[in-house]
Amino acid sequence: MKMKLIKTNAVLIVTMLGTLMPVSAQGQFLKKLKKSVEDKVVKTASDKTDKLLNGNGAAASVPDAKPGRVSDNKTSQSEKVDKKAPFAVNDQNILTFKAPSKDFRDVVIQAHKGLPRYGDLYFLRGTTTPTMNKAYEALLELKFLENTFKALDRSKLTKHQNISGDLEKKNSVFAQNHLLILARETLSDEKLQEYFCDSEAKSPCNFYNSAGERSRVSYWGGTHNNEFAQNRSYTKFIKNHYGTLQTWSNSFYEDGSQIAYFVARGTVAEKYDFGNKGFWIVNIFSIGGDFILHKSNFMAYSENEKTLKNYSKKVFLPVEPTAAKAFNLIERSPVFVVFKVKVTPNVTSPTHIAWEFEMEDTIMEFYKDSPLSQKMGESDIRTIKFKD
Amino acid sequence: MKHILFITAVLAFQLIGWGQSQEKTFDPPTADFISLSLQTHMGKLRFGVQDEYFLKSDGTYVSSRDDEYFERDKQFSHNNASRHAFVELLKMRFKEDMFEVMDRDFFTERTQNMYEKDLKSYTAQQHVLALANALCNKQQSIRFFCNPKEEDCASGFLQEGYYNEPRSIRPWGGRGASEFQKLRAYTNFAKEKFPLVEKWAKTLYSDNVLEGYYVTRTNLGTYDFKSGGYWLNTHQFYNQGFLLRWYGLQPVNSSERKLMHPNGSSILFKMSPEVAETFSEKYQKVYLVFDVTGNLNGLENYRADQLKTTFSLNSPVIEIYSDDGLTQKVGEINITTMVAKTR
Repeated sequence: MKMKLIKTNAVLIVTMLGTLMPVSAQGQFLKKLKKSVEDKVVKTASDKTDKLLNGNGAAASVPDAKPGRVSDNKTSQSEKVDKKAPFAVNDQNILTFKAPSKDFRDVVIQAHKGLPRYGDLYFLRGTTTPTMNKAYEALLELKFLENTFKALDRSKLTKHQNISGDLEKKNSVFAQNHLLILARETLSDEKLQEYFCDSEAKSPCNFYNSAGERSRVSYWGGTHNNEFAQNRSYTKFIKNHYGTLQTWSNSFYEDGSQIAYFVARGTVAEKYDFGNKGFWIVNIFSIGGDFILHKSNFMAYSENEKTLKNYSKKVFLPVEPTAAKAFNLIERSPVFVVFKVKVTPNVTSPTHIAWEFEMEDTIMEFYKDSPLSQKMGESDIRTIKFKD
Repeated sequence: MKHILFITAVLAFQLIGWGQSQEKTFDPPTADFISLSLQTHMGKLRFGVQDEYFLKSDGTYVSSRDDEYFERDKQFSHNNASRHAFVELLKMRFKEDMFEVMDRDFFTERTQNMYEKDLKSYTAQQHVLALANALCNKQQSIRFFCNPKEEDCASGFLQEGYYNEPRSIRPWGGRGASEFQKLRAYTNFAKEKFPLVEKWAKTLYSDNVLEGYYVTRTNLGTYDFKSGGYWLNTHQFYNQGFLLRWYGLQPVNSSERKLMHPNGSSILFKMSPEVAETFSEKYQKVYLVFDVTGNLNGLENYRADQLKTTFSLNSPVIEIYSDDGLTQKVGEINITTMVAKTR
């Protein structure tokens, strides 16, 4: 709809052949053409940015000529100007994974200090930049469940019936469901119309809810469509986009693991401890979100890590009395604990990945607020104090 | 001919004896206490799984009809008592605040609500009772723990060569002792002997670091023909034993982390199928030996009254033996080059 700016095939190819992306993640053929299209790309990209800034609002960002990850630098900020997001802090706290072509949209997730933010996220509708967590997770699963995807039936939709016992068919059903999620989450608005809107519908389908988030995407071929149209839509998608998605997914977790920040939400356990000069924090891991990471996959190696994981003990955060007063905390005030972790996927079944993580840094940072802007202090896991 | 047979038999018997390592003896500050005899391996203390003494290196057990049975039994009794006493002595350094406020003239009664100071004194007195039971020789045991009005102290007490079972804690003054006898026994020990115990405890590894070998055991399991060996699962390693536990190992590098993966890892003990067939008929268990540095980190808590220990590896080589006496070495695994898998 709004993205009908670019129509010629030339531009399509140009955008697909990302120029500034890490070489390792791209296919060989892309590399060859890279040089020749570089100049064109720069021009197209700036043209599009201009158009976007001149009135294309919340819907989605324009696919740029830069697939792959772009961290919170000027580029992503300038593209991410959003009328609904008044706080600059939001723009610094996202990571944008550029779409590999204009058929897809950028994948945005929250970040902390330039690395992915997992665990408890900061989401406030209309305030924080919209993120595509499902798309991100689905892309990771596409990469690491590659053995399951080998069973994908590319020529037809596998029926749900008659699959008992045959792992191959089960895997195909799973893979096809997974691709449906990926298509819903990652396709550009234009392509979404193509694959998920009945061609005979009188008006274009609306895939957005009132908050401007994509949510109302139905099945292949659109609502009320017959199995022939569904199959046509599915096979066309496979033919045109599956390879691109696979290549894109391989640009994530490049060496098989990812350094990230795991944010846990705890609470202040009791009033300020004047004897020890600090706060006792409790319930880390038991409340709070679990984007990608969950306590159960925390690989605890040292004694203190094991205590932190396995016992619901209070942990100590040293804070000077004057600073503590300024933070204005009471019992049960939330506290956000940030761990720098190394995340490694462990494929535990054909359909499930356990995202195991271990501490990459012994420092735990404590923040007062969910956007992680007010740091209270830090503790070292090697020397941290516990109490019952 | 008969003569030669006899000599070989004697030689073989002696070899079994020599195979076992010399024990490390800690002499008591007074002859009223027992000496402590701890097992060693290659000259250093042995932690974790201990030599039970009854398993011969050929895989058979010493039977109660064998001549050496009572000798082994007494050796075990001494070693068992020594290990217990050693740990009780080590725990003292983490209870200094309790011994400081311990009432040495009267018993501290246990009540529903206690002041911190009284709770400490009470806990310390319990520890003193444990120490007295663990450390006193036969003569002193009779003095503090036998009630001549109720029992026959001369004959019915400890048999010669045997030591007090760690689990049996006799009450002050002996069975059925009056409150006067009880208090007399306690105060006599607290004033005469306890200062010696305190001093002794301080001389033992005062930096809280103990060098030695950690021994664990595991079942061989099923032979894996594809990989050509047995998978030894770290989650099935025996986790109890003297002073150190398997899960107390603190990994410091990536190969040690592989070994200590929280989901458990399996390491490959390579063996050709021909060797494995005869080996598995004889042995179902193997003993793994790690060269380690142990650390004492305090007490678990008041009630559990257990030493918190951790250890780190001094060498990447795991020695593997087929007997608990560690005389029959059957292989080695180097953890930097080991084949390992996690769940």
